[in-house]
Amino acid sequence: MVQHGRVQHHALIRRVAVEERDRAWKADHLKATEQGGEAMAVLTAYRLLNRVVVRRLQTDTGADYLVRLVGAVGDDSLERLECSGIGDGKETTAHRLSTKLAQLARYPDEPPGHAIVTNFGTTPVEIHIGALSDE
Amino acid sequence: MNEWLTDPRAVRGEELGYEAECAERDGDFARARDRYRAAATEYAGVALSVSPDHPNTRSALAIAAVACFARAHDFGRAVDLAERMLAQPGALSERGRTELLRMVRTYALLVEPARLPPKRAARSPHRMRDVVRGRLAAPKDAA
Repeated sequence: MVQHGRVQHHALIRRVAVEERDRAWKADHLKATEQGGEAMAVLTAYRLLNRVVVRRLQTDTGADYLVRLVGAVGDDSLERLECSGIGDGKETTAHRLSTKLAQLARYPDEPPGHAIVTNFGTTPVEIHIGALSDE
Repeated sequence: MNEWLTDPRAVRGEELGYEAECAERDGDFARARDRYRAAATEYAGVALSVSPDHPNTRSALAIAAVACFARAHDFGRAVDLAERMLAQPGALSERGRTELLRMVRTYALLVEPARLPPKRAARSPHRMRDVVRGRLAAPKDAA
């Protein structure tokens, strides 16, 4: 279930079966959640926000990816994308989204940054999308 | 996408940065620092070549370079590069300027003491000697 502001969408995530060897190799739960969250965010940004990734950003640079609107005019029109994944625990998707938006809000002068949070612990999986302009 | 974001150095910087993050997670900190330093060098080369009419691109690459130098524990080069990028007026986005200024403030505290400006010398380095000499000389002058 995708929550984009007040609008809800339904989407299908197809999980690919992995072999036991791959599962053991990727046994780090935190890492898997983080990378799964990034993958879902990049796909969601493309499908629902019409944004494509330009570059992946380094840790400590204020966001996870630089994105741009498909077909945007001007080659310097960059936006930030903050991705997050929740594997388990009690934190709600909405709470995590507000934390990520607060992170982006440190620089309100910039073009709107987007945050996408995927909660793998809920059934169905919840994906919340937010932008500073939605606040 | 513009030419700087597709520059092979920016692509290589991203690859090296990712390798560094993986090494860091695996606990191989020496390798992580080495990769971060290499990534920073690649990013810095591109960031410095971005024309001032692309402030968002220039800022994003500069921040990436400074952050990588810092994660390589090369705080001196991180500060040097940030100051160099900040020196050119109007060439950064507002976020870029704010972030680089914050990085300079943070990392300057971590630069090794040898790089810090030398302590100012006392106004009179031989004050005690001068006082003693003055006292000894005073009776002679009086005589």
